[in-house]
Amino acid sequence: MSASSASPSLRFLANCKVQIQVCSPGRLNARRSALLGIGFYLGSDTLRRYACGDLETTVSYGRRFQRGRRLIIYDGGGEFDRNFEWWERFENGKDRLIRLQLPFKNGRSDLLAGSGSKLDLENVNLLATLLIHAEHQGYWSKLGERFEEDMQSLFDRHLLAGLVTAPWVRADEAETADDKEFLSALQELVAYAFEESVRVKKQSGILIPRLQNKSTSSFQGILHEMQSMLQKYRTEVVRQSRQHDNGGRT
Amino acid sequence: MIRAHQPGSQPFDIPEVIPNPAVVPKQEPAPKEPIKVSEKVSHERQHR
Repeated sequence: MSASSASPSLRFLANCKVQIQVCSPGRLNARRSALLGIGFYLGSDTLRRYACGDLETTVSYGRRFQRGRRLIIYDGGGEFDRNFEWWERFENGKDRLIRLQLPFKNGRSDLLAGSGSKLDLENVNLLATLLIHAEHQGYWSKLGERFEEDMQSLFDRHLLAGLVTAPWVRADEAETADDKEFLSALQELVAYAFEESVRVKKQSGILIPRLQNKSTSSFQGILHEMQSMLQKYRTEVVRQSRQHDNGGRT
Repeated sequence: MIRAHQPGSQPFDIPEVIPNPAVVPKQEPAPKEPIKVSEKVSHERQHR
C-alpha cells in the first residue's frame, strides 16, 4: 500500500488528501481483474463518480510501463518480496500445507482506491485473496471459484455481464490497450450504482422493513447484494481458518 | 516488503462521492478519554 501527499500526522484512511494504492501479490487475469475492480467499487462505503482523467498515473504511458488509465494496474515498479505465507491443500483437500513463499516470483495487481476506508482495504484483501488463490490453485481456490460464479450470477440478474469483458487491466495483449472501452464500462457501472443508491434511499422507509423478513437479498438491489456476498465469503474464510486454529480439519 | 509505485504527484480529483446506502457504518469503540490532571494539584500550584 502506498500513500502520497500526506504528512505523517494525518489520518490516512478516508482522507481525501491521502491516496491509497492497494497492492496484492500476483497478477490476476483480465476477467479476475474485472471482478476485483467491480467488487471493490460496489462494496465500498462510498460511491465515486470518476472523470476521464482521474485514473492517469505516472505509469499510464511511456516506454517502460504503459498501464493506461485503469482502476487496476499490474506492478508499476518497485521491489517484490516473496517471503509471505501461502496456503495450499493436500490429502484430497483435507489438510493444509503452509509454504513460506508465494508461488509466483513477481507481479502484483494494484488497485487505485484513491481516498480509501478501512472497509475498502478489508474488501480488497478478501477479494484479491479469493481471486489469486483461484488463479494459482491455492487453499481458497474452490471458494474463489464459487465467488466468481456468484459474481457472474449477480451480473446476469442485473444485465451487467458485459462489464466483465471490458479491459479492466492493461496487459501485454493489444486488445487490452483501449482506455475508452474500460472507461465506458466503468461509467456504466457508476451510473447503475448511483441510480441504485437513489432508489434505495427513496424506498428504504417502505421496502426494507418488509424485506427484512425475507431470506433472499435479490430484491434489495446490487449494492445490498454485493454487501451480502462479501459478508458471506468473509464469514466462510474466518470459519475455515478458525477450524485450523482449533486443531480441526476443513 | 512490497513497495508500490506512487500513482502520481497530484491526488485524484473525484468530483462526486456519495455514501453507499447499503453499507451500515460500524460502531467504532469510542476513544479513551485523556488522563485528567488532578484539580487538587493544580489548585495547590496556583496558591503557591
